[in-house]
Amino acid sequence: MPEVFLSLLMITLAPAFLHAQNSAGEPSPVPIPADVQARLAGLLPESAEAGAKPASERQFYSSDLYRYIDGAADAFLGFDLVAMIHQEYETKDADITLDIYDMGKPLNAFGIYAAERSPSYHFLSLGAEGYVSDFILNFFQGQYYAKLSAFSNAGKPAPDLVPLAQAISAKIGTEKSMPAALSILPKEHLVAHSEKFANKSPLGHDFLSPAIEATYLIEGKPVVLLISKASDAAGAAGRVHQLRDYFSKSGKAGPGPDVVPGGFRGSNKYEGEVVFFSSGDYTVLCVNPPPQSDPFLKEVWDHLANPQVNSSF
Amino acid sequence: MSSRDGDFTRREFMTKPLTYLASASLLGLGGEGMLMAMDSASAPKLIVRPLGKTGISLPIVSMGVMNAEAPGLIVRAWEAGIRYFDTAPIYLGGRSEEMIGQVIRQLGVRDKAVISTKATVRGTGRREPAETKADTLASLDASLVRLQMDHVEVFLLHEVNSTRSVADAGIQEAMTQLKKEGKIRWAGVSTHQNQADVLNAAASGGPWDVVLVGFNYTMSDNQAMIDAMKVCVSKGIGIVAMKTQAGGSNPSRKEVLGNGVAESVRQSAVLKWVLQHPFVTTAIPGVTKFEHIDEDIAVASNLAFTDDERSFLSSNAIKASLEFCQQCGQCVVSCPSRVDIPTLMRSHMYAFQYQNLEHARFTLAEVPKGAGLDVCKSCTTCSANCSHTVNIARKIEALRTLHWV
Repeated sequence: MPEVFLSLLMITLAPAFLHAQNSAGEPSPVPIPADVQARLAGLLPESAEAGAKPASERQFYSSDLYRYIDGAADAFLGFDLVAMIHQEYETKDADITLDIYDMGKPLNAFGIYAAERSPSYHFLSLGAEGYVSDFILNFFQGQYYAKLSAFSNAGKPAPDLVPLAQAISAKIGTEKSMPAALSILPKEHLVAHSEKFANKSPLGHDFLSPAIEATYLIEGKPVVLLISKASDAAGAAGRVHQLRDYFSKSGKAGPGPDVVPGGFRGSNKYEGEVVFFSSGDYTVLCVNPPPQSDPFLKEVWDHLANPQVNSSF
Repeated sequence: MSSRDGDFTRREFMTKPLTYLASASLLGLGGEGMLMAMDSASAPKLIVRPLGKTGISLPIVSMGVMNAEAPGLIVRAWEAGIRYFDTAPIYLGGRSEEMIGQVIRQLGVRDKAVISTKATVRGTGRREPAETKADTLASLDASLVRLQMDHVEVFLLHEVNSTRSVADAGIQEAMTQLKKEGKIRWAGVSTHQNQADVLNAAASGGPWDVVLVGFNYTMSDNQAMIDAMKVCVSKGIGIVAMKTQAGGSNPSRKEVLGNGVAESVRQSAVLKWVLQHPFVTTAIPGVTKFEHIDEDIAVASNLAFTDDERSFLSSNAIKASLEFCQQCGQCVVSCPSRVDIPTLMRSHMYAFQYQNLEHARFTLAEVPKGAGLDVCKSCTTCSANCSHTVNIARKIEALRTLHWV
């Protein structure tokens, strides 16, 4: 009987025990700073409907996130994860898991949020943006990305995750705007919820980092627009030359349409047909533009020339 | 049902397996061999290995498409000779499956590609079999819509961490039914935790043909895991390895794994370590940029370590960061209390590295009376004398927490 009790006790206390390994210096080379821990713990909501499970809180740092979410950690690290907190809740009919990721800045939080969303989800007015799909609810707000998932008992419906999410949102604060960097994207023809932030290796190329991209519908066809941010205009022009060299070697490159002065056309079997040019600090790629896309390219050109467009990545 | 855009229809898929295999240029060889990347005469020959009893062989390097956002990466991988593409419904919010489907269609190579996707089914072993079966079937149907395919070659139950999931009657029924319907060719499980137990359960029976397991150099002392993989192979179950880089692409892990060493050396060294185990058919390192594919293909054509790679893997810094207990027993000789340190280190590994507290406790119970934690004086002599630079004293202190509980 004592053996059974010991086993149950070990299982019950396992999360706390495993968290203690951090303080023992076991797998985590760098401890989570106390202020970060406190900040994340302060975001955990109290809920009348869902009670927090005892000892279920765990925190992970960039160096050991893969112990929690395995290979998925790479995506979060690609957006410079600071740390995350995990907490489990339970209601009468369901278990709920909450993960809040501190991504350091709003653009990074948007980046990982957008990487995991699909334009086909059901979107909510929650935080800066959020969505529900089956038993999950994800949203981002400020520098945080919150993920809630539920598992209902047999025969019970999925619980409403919105109240818990709203409680988290209130703790994060009142600022709920989208990252300012997204304003570099022209709004006309933009496919809703298709915007993405590529912090590392946009289109598989390191030299284009970082970049904002989105899908547009031009003549009924999807066109990907990628806007890469360099440190200055010379850097942006340099990226155009790198692209020209890349397409020359992997396919072909030639002069671009007149509406984008100094631009080029390129094509190969990897990216397909592209138009690329620089404007100020930006290098722009338009992937697979349809034949009559000059008005769209002109619109992009004019938009980037507008001094009102925010240039802070 | 007619063929379209080079696709094999489900009927053709079911009735012409030999044609399928032959056209894939992946006909089972019965052993390791070499495959010329088909699209380039100058491309390196890739080492291929049989995938269990499936009858096909694959290049030893495949592609994990989880974080690959750019379609061009799949095109390049195909061109380089990679044939096995691993995805899942949850990757990139479903866009990963959509992208693979689009690229494979555009390339017109559906009959040559081996597509693997997964189903995340909650409550396996706890819910009614009819429910888990329905969820499995629905997950595949949704995946096929996103992939724009009428079948996949490999269908895995995702994130299996317990034997009860492997034994779930509803899941097994679903897999068997899907095979009969021609919607999948082979069934399997992917596992991240309690892997040895999961693999042994899969090998003990059921519809399982393939297992996707986390395997990397940090597991070199996990004999239970290695033995379980060998058992699977002996039962005709093919081994596909993931997490082969052990978080090596993680910037903070790079600090642990050796600053000053080129990333390409780190990546290729740890990937070669995995693939030098002949029971591993293929690995699915993640790909997010074109350089990754070139590096992976270089490994797939030559598994011999370079001097830099050998130096990297044998460096004291790496050994120190890994702290592998080699179970050599030298520490016991130097221990004034003759503590059974090797068994304690195995218990520590189960508790901390694999988070299997139950197994850790059983292992701890193996320690002979008078040689356990209670007689350890915390003198740190063991750490000072360990030739593999394992900080034994620190691990023992961590174990005391477990023992106290």
